[in-house]
Amino acid sequence: MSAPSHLDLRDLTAGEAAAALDGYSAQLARGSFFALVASAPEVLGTAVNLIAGFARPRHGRILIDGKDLGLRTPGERGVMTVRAHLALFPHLTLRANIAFPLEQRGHDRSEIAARVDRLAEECGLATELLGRLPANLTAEQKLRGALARAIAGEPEILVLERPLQALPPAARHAFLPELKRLHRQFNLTTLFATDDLSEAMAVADTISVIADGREVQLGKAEELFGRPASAAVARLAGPCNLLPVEADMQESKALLRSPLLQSGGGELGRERCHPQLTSGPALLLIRPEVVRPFLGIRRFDLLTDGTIADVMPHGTNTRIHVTVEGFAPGIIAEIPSPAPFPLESGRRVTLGWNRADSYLLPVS
Amino acid sequence: MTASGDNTALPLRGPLAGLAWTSLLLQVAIFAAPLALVLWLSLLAATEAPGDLSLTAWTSLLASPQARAALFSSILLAALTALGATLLATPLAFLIAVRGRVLGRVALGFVIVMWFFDPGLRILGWMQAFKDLAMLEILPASILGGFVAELIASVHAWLPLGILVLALAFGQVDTELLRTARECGATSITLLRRILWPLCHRAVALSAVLVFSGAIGSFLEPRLLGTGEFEQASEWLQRALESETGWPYAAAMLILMLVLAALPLVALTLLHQRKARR
Repeated sequence: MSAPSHLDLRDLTAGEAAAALDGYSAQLARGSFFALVASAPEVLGTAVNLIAGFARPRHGRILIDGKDLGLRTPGERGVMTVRAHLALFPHLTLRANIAFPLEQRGHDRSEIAARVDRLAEECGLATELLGRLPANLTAEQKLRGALARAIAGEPEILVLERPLQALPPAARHAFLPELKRLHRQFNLTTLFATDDLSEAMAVADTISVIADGREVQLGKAEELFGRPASAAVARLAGPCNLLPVEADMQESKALLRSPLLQSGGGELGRERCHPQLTSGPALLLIRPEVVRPFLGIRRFDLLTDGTIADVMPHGTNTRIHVTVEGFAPGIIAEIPSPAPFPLESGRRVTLGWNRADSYLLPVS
Repeated sequence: MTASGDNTALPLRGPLAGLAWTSLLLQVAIFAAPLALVLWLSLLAATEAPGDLSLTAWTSLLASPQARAALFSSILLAALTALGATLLATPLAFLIAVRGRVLGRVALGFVIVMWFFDPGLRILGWMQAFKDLAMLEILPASILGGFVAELIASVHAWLPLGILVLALAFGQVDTELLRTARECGATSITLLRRILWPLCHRAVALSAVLVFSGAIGSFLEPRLLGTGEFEQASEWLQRALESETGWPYAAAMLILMLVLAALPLVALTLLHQRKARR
């Protein structure tokens, strides 16, 4: 018999329109780092408010250690949330902010002071920062303070609702290892609600992707990246090319037909096809990192021709946008710099990639 | 001034600027003209020689035990009204700002209707209620008339203003702060004491000051509910105005009441400016 879930969301239905959850279920094991991903932040807000007790589901139950939270108030649930705007009390010093949940639980002063000092250190906050008001802290210090306060509340479940939004875009991914470290250190069951699948893939053990209020895929990062359940999940996971093709599903392979491909088509093993795919229109997923532009002869399984429209430096790589006749979005390729030949706008190139790097998806 | 400076204020030009200045001048004139007239009246000597100016009315007023007592009684009533209205306004303002949409809106609607409703009629209602309660011998005689009755009526009359100011301020507080405090285990009292009041201290002070400024000049409550035992400044004023020679004294009392009403507002503004400079 498997161990009972620490947090069990059962068939939750709540919210309206873009914020709606429609029969959503999820089970979080004790100490797990679970990510809830939706492109609409409103859906994440609905889920977080349900778990934290600020909203009630029209249908469904929320259980912690098998006990129904029912009508328990937010303070009685054992859930602490770090929200997108962090919600540090602006009139209280960082020390008072971190001490706040401890004071509400009736700890004595000396114990509170000692625990705040320890928590601040564990969360990477220097002691001299504790006397400052939130307005006098950097975005990262504020985030660390909000995390320390949430952990001080000794939650059963730690909910992180888009916490990295508080950081400048360039600093968001740099903070992910810190989230992982804190998770390892405190071993708290963590629900990370985010609209950025790449953030979730970097830190979470399990990822649940929601679209239109329903779960469309549950899995580990590599599954979501390599074998997404839909084009929407593929797009959430990062930049991608989705080429329209006509698929003829056979026992061990799929035959592809498309005027966009050289020689009018190709073939793909069944293991590179979505399990529910049937013959008919389909989308061929190719990540920009696996597409290579070349001149002359090179061995790739699938090829297409186009013209370079834009060349964009992208860190240590170069990203090129290639227009392909009959396919308005064009194809994006990302190659290590320096490129094997001069890349310039207007140059005709052939793009190639291997079958093993492609994945065939249903259109809807 | 160029628009490219570090100014955060938007430049105001064109016909709108003209209208704004006209409106401001009109307001100053409307306020300043009667004030100057009253000030001039207060300096008129109560002698046979018309046009002589003196401080007789002011010195007599300040020397009069009756006038001083009336003024003190008014200040006390206004201060207690401000305190009572602010304390009583807080829970309902909290409800309006924090509770769900429907309940909050119904409560706000009720308060707005209460504010627009003529305070005189409401006080008459209070009088009737007191009489009925007296008949039922529920309330002790001491609060059926006199200072306590005036205080109850005054708080009742000014309570909606306090609620509206506080509800507006509480409504501006980030909901996420309140939710976080709740998650931390804060009770409603803690939420008010540790989060809402400190974050809205200006609004709390403004609410108290506005109620004080309004209540200090109240004349309905003393007229309708007072016993004469504790004469209010407004009652003293009315007696002075009814006497042919009392106008300079009444004018001096009016100026004094105006200063008293404005003093807390000025003090509050200066305090905030000082804090902002820090």
